[in-house]
Amino acid sequence: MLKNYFKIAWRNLWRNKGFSATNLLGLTIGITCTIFIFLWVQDELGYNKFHKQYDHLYKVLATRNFNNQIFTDENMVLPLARSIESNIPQVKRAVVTTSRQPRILSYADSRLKKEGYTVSEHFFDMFSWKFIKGNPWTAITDPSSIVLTQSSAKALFGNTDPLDKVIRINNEYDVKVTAVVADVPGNSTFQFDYIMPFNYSNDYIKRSMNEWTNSSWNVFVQAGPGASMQLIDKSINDIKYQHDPSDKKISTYFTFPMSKWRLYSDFKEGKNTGGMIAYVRLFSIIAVIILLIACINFMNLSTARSEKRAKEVGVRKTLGSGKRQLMFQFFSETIILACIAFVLSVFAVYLLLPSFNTLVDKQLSLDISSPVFWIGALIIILFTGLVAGSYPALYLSSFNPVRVLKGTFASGKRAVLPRHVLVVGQFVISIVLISATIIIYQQIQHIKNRDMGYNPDNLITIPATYDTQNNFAVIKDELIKTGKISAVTRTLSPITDIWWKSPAPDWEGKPANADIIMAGLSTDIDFSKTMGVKILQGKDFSGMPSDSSAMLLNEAAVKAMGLQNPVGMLMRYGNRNYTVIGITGNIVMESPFKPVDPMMVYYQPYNCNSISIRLGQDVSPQKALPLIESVFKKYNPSYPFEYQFVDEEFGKKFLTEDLISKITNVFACLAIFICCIGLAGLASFTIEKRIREIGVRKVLGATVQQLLLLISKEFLKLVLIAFVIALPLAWWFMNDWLQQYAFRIHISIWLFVAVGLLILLLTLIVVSLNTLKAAIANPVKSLRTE
Amino acid sequence: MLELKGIYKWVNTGNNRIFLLKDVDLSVKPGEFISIMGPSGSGKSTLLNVIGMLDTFDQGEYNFLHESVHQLKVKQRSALYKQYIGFVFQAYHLIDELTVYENIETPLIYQNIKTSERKALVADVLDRFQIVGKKDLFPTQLSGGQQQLVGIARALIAKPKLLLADEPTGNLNSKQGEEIMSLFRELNREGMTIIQVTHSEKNAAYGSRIINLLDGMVAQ
Repeated sequence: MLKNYFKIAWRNLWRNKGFSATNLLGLTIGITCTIFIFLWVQDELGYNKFHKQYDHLYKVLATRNFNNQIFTDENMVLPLARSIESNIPQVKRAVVTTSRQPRILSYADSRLKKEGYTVSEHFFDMFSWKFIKGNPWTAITDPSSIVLTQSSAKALFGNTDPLDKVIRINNEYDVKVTAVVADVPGNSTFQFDYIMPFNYSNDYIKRSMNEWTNSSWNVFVQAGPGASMQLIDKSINDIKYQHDPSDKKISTYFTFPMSKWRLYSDFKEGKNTGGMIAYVRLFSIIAVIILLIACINFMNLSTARSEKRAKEVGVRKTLGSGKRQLMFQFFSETIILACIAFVLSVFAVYLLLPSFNTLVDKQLSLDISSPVFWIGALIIILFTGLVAGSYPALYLSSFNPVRVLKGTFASGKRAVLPRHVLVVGQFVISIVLISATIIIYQQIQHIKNRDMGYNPDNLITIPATYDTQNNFAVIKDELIKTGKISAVTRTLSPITDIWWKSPAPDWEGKPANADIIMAGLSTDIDFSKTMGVKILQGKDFSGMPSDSSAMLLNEAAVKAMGLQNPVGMLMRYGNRNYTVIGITGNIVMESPFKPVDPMMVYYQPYNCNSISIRLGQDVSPQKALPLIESVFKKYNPSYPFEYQFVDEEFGKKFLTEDLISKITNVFACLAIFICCIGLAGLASFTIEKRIREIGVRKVLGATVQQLLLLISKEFLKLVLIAFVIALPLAWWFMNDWLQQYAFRIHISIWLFVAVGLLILLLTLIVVSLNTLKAAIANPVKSLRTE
Repeated sequence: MLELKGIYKWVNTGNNRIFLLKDVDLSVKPGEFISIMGPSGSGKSTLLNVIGMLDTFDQGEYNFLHESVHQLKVKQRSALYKQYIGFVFQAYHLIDELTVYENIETPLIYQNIKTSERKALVADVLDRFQIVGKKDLFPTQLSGGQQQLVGIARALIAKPKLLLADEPTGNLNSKQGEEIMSLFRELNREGMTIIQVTHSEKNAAYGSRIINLLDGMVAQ
């Protein structure tokens, strides 16, 4: 019985090659999209899951209320972890780590900059990494040991055994390789090339271990079985307040489970506001929608050609087939189609996976040997088969045999309305997606075109080191002498980041309730010249001795502080007085999506970590870089030469938005493409049905244009309806999306008009191409087919 | 075998009620070969469809093999005709996507008969109608007469008690028509009850009784 169904279904599909190919193409695209999104979502959901203690691991975070500025902070004091471990019985282990730090690892002639963490004792007991050489129990017992990842070991030692080799760190001290772990998987929150233990005999660490106010480390806890997290949270707070009572006013500590690290990483005003999860949901919905559009194609085309099958249904019914058996038969056709589409999709995924990986910047792979794949395959095939087959099966199996066989069956009239509804639905989705794509693009452009307050082009930053700080004057001098460099300065942080935030300084007339958090930057002379920052009032630092007690404010600071004549005003910060000597324009350093923070700039050349180099006008980086490199090789020999283009760093601030933009772009194109395939199919069926009418009209003198219009009119009407429905929907969705941006575009009505015209044009082209053949054909032919 | 009593069927158009069948009484005994005749629109096909349970009626009683058809639910009715009635159509109505063999086999599939049994039954019929050589051909590859032969083979495969034929020779030339009619006579002699609708006096003569319909009524 089953075999019979499938045989007949296969033959039916084979007979109607055009119909099958149209649907196959649509379904394959739909399923391919679904697989890709499924892979992406699976990767996002699988973050950190490889840790054996996944369910018991937490990061300690603090909600800090700083003069009513509430933010969430991951920086903890160094002794906290040890205290938690020994004082809270429900905590099995606690670990403290640094944030990710770059280090120069050198061995023989190779010097490599690698990033990693310095960690406390139980790091490898708590987190599960795959050890290739050595073991987790003894890897970091010796303070002068280091654990490398496989690829960093290979980069340093080639194919020789890395164990027990001695590496020099930052040209300062030696450590011994005690273990090698497999490279960190892409879906891990920890990303490192090396792991080193804390050296508790180091003076700074020794001091910090008794210091309960310097928050610079990350603390993780592993809860014991059946532990109450509320209790643990409370105990952590108690421990911290006990050692630092002043913190009670400011901070509340809590544990943040590992399962939320990736997808719920955003905090606003101390409350968790989600994060990537929003996009995981959004893309999942989009995947289903794309698949649905492809399914709708199948429904439309199946019912459109129903009269071809009506006779078969009638005959089968008189031969004793029940409705259920007929439905089953129609379902087998869609299931077969879905299976073929799925197989094609798997091929497509294999072919396109590298490009997709580049697009989303991940290392995804399709593992067809895993049970997850087969479960996924089953779900996708059944979903597609059942959804696409449902309506045709119900519709076709309900034909009355007597009427069908008598030939008085009004072909497909009953299905016209649902079919029109489905087509309108498809176009609504397409129009919404296209509008979204354009609005997202416009919004990103809007932000990118925002006045950044400095000139990121042809600006290079180089991390400062002990040597560059000592030799800075010579370095600057030699750089300028090359003739390719127009200005050099140094700053606390690169211009694309803020490393220092603190309450505003005091000034005369400061309101008692002024709660202003300010960004801070220390810099050298030539700050405005190098960065291209505008000085609106006063002047920049010039290196005079008085500069050490001078400061610059930015426009936002002047506004936030409510100053009338800021230049010349006295500011008291810490225990020192500063004179405001200049006002700079607002510089977008952190998020280009947010307003600029008020900022104070100090003249502190000794307190700088980043050197900025402005290339001369019309000097290409290719020409300037070798010159810069040779200068740095000379004066900073123990570090490999590395540099960053500021415009590229700036571009990284758009990673998420660019990703969303690219993905919606691809989806919108595919959605509209699938719609067009469906439309083409539908048009050709309409024409087939009306071929006689077209013939008669032609004989009566209709021109080709008139015929094209006649057929197109029906479809254009549908597109128009879709447009009217889609417009408010798109506006509502996108307006909601734009709310998250402080600087946002206004959605213009002309955008929708343009999208509407585009879709209309597309419809016209697709339908006309299909109609043209029938309209041009000699009417005698079609009229003869009596 | 079957008995129709006072069967009415009508359609309402506006205020008018048009009768398709009007007070039809008919009783058919096993082994009869009945021809229904009458001009176009006289209700021949409607009557045949009512007898075949493909169509309903508005008033009257219909007893088929001691079952009161007018009291049965749709499902029970279709179970009844599935088991006891075979249909032959003027336009053959073979399924184009299926081979001769599969067309004949289809009714058996709907009666949940096992594959091995189906094979044997279909082989018998193919043999009997001498179309074994054509079993893998598709309907479009056959002549009209051959297609109708397959149609009849399909109608008989499930061993019905009653064969209903709606102008079975209407699309055939006279030679092919004669062959089909003599096949019917042969089947009737073997005990099959047959009711056919026909325009042709000559074909009607093959039957044992003729019913004349005029405007939905049996003409006396």
